Amino acid sequence: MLRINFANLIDRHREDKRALQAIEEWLNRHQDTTVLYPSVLARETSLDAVSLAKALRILVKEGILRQVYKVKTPTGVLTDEEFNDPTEIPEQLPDRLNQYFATAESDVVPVFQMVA
Amino acid sequence: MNELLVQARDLHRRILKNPERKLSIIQEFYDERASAGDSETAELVLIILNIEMSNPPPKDPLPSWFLPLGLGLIMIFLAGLVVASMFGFVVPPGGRFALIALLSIGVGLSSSALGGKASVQGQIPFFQNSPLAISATSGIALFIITFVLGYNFYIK
Repeated sequence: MLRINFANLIDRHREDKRALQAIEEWLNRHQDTTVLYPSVLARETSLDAVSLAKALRILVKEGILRQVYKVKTPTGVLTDEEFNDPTEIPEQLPDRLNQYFATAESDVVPVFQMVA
Repeated sequence: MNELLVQARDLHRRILKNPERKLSIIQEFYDERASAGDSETAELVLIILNIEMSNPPPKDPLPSWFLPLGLGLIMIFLAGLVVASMFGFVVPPGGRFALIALLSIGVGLSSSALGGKASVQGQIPFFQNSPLAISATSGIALFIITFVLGYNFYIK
């Protein structure tokens, strides 16, 4: 698989260089990854939350990542359904076993998908 | 503090106060921002919120000198005992309790450096038919284990 190179991107976003480089390195270490979770990236890159969030949003705006929201089921897994923003999340959703659960107390998780 | 972080923590506090309304609070926040034409801030704050909720910041660690000091004191203390015994000075029976207590405190304080994620539970051994039970982990457990072993093998 080709190595990911953010050099041009970093030239355009000098203030976020460190975070973009950290994500670039992480992606090159996990070349089979197609989905990025901010909490995992934060843990494995040691970036602070603000820098990481800004860098991820740059990658979304540059068309490298696509951001969606998923909901965590009561058993702790993410639903298959994806939402463009949290206001689209309905009051109930089916879990992986097709059992409906109330989403009122559920975690809303931003998920980033690699754009092919 | 960064304004985005302030907003994420404020949102987190609101969720912690009303966890049964978690989704509604997030939706209202997003809706407010989007209506004001600032959905980018909402996206950033929700990413930060997710990171902060998943990876809470660590509690203040022990000062860096704490473990070396504990270990150093134990080593000096034990070395002193060895040297003293070489010159014929042994710990009298009446002083053994204090010796074991001091050693136990030192081991307990140095628990991380000694690789300790020990745990102990059971009845307190000093009282026959004791209704009291204990359960402890880490430094306190190592203190108890060292103290009980020392008491049984060295003092009794």
